[in-house]
Amino acid sequence: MKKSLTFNGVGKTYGRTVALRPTDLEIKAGEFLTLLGPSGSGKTTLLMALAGFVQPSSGSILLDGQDITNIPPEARNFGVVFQGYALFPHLTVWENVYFPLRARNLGRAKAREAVDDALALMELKPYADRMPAALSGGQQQRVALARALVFKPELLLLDEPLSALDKSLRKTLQTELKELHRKVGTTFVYVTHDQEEALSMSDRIAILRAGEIQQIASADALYWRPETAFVAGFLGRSNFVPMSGATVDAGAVTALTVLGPIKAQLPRDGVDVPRDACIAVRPERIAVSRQEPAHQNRVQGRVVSLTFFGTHVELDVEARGTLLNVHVPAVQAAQEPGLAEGAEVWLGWDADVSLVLPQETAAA
Amino acid sequence: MNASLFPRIVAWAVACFLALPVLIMLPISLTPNRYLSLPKDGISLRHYKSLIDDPQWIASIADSLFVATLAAMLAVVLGASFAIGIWRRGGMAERVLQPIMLAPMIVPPIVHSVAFYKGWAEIGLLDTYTGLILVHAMKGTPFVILTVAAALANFDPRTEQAARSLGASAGRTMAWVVLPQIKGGLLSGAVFAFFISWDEIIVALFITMRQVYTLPRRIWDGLEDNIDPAIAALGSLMILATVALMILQTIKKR
Amino acid sequence: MTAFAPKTASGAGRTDRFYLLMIVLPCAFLALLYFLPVLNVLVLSVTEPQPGIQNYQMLAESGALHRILLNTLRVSLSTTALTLLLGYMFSLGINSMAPRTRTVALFVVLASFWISALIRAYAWVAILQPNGLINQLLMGIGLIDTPLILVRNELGVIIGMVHYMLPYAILPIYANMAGIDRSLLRASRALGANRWRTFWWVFFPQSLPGLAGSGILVMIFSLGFYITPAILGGGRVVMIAEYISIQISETLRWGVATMLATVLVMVVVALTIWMSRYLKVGGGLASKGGKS
Repeated sequence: MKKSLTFNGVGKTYGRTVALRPTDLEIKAGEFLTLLGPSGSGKTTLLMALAGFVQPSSGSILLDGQDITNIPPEARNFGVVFQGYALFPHLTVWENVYFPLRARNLGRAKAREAVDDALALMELKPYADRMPAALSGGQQQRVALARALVFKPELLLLDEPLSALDKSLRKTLQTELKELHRKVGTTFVYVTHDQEEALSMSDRIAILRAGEIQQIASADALYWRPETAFVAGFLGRSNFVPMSGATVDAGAVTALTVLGPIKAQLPRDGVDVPRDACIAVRPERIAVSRQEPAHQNRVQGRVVSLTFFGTHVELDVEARGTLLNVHVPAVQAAQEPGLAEGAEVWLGWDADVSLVLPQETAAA
Repeated sequence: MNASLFPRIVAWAVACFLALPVLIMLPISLTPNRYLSLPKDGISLRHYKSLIDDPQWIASIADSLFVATLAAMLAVVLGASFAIGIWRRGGMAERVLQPIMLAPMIVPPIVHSVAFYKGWAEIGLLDTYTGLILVHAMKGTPFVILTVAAALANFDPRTEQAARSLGASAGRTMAWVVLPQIKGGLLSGAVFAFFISWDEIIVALFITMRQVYTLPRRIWDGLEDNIDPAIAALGSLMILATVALMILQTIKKR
Repeated sequence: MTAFAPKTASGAGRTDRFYLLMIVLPCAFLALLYFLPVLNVLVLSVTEPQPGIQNYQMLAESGALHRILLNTLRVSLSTTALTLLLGYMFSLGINSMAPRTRTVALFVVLASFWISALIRAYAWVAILQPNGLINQLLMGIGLIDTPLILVRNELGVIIGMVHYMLPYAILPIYANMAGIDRSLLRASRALGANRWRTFWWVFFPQSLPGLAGSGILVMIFSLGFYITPAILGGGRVVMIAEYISIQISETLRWGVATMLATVLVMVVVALTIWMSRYLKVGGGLASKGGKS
């Protein structure tokens, strides 16, 4: 049932526009992989190539080593949950879920058990005879899932399935989807532009930008070890400080910046300092104090603004003409007397939280 | 004085003007006289009776029904196929081909009547059912394209992709998902195409003589001779049928 | 690329061919059975009676042709002007009616549209002819002694044509008017413009696309109109379509007839392209289909 998928240099161009650069990608059997990126990043093109609706301009897609690039969508046996659900408005909930079995030439009687099971799994039994238009957004979402799972697909593809729902419902369904993935064990490939969804559900996340996969890793690896400035800025927030040069000594980097020399690290071993690079530091990894701290990197600045967010306090600190964003836990901020707008403060952080990253365009 | 009163008065005057021929038809058809007049001393159904008694009227009604039914069916196949095809593929096809396919609706009837008169004579289709059905089908096709395209505009293209991903072939997707959802457009296209054929006179004047003798053709020839009140009876029946169908449709929509 | 692009995204090749076939077959059908015969006959305008453009030269020289073209233009323009005026007033009127009354008024328009043009022309003859209903009525109440000549002249033709064209004009004009944002009118009043100025400065300019579109549509239909002029004109008001018909069936002058047909087609095509700036070609018809 569980199969692995391989993309070998799959690319797609429409005339002169490149929707997806030739991409290699390995999807492991049974994993929950999320394709995350802004609109126009190529994530939907990638998914639609996988589903068979987009014919790649180059490369091939392999399912357990077997080439499926030219197999039409209906013969791929992948479940797809579409953006906006794409429920058939002229069929009842039961008939919608029965549809894939009907397409597989299963009679109503034979299919009844499977359809009822799928409806039960999604807690949709009471709605079996309703028309889709008579359901709430969350219920429609569950019908779409039941329909995509009833034929036990090799793979479940989900294209922004939660984007049409309001925020609180989205949260609940995120948990349900994760639960569902555990229960059915099928490989899930999930497309979204919402980083919170990606972080909360995925085994691995692929971050896409301008038709290219920037990095694939688990959520925490992506967060703490981003390999490009784009990833560091897209997932969570980062302070970016441009570099004018660097010296490397046994893996330890000293970068020349407007803030003075900064001790930093490369995201992983074996990479060189990129030509156009910057230092990225997460706001919550910078410590604030009135006295000079003991951190490897220290810089003095003035609090320009201070905003209270409940769990934490967000500061904008101006240091040598550069604005640094700093998050201080609210409890800690309360213990720091004199932390107010206009105050002179020290910022400190260590080399292991300042990463040297390539910077094409550092989105903040 | 309400400033919008004047346009409303005009509106009702225009409505009366539009309804006048319809309203006049019924009394004329009930005249006891042999000539066109309003009934003064009592009403009579003699003109309705003469419609039924005259086998020629019945034959023409049958001809028109036959031609219009087949023409509408062919128009629906041609128009729906084209509309669905360009809806799915879009791009150049939609911008360039669609206006061209609407030509039979825009080109003045007299022009293509002359064309078919010559063309059908060359391939032996003059005064045949096939010849007239083909022309009427082509005249109906643009209307089907428009109504089906309008129905497709409200159709979520993802449901078509969903059907494919769920295992339905292109053909089954068409039959199970696309066609059921554009039923309304197909039906109104069919009604249009039927009506276009049922009411068509100019091409019929050119390419039919004796073998095929549709109702409009018979009415036209009747107008040439003398104005027979039987035509008023026929017109009344057609008007009543039209209005009844429209009322039925309006009620169904509510 | 995040949104689905079903229009450009090609599925597997087989599906593409399936849809391509759905386009190609109807196109081939019309190309062979419609466009070929039409071109085949229009070509006669430069080959009959002998090759050359002598038929087109007649356009400049023949007085008879000038009269026909002038007739056509005059009747078409009068019809268009009257139709637009009445259609605009009608739309304005129903726009300010209660929804229920408006439904009734629109029903009359649609019913008129769906009733056979031939039957309507017949009814107009019955109403307008010398011993027709209007003359009987007027003489009956002693207003006139001799019947008015209302038919077999330009007046009759224009009455019949306006009656036929009104639904075609009203539906786009009304659709356009119904789409005008009411809050703009309130804004105009709040900014100090009175009713009259609000109408002319705010409402009317926004209703122009509908008016222009229907005007061209009515013009297109009028120029090539056959049935109503032939029946209500009674041979006295010959327009281009009837003249073409006479050339084919009576005098057998194919060259002149097809030359006029070519000119007619070119004018109509040009008008259609112009119209498409204001109206989606056939857009009004599709909505009629929905309502019928």
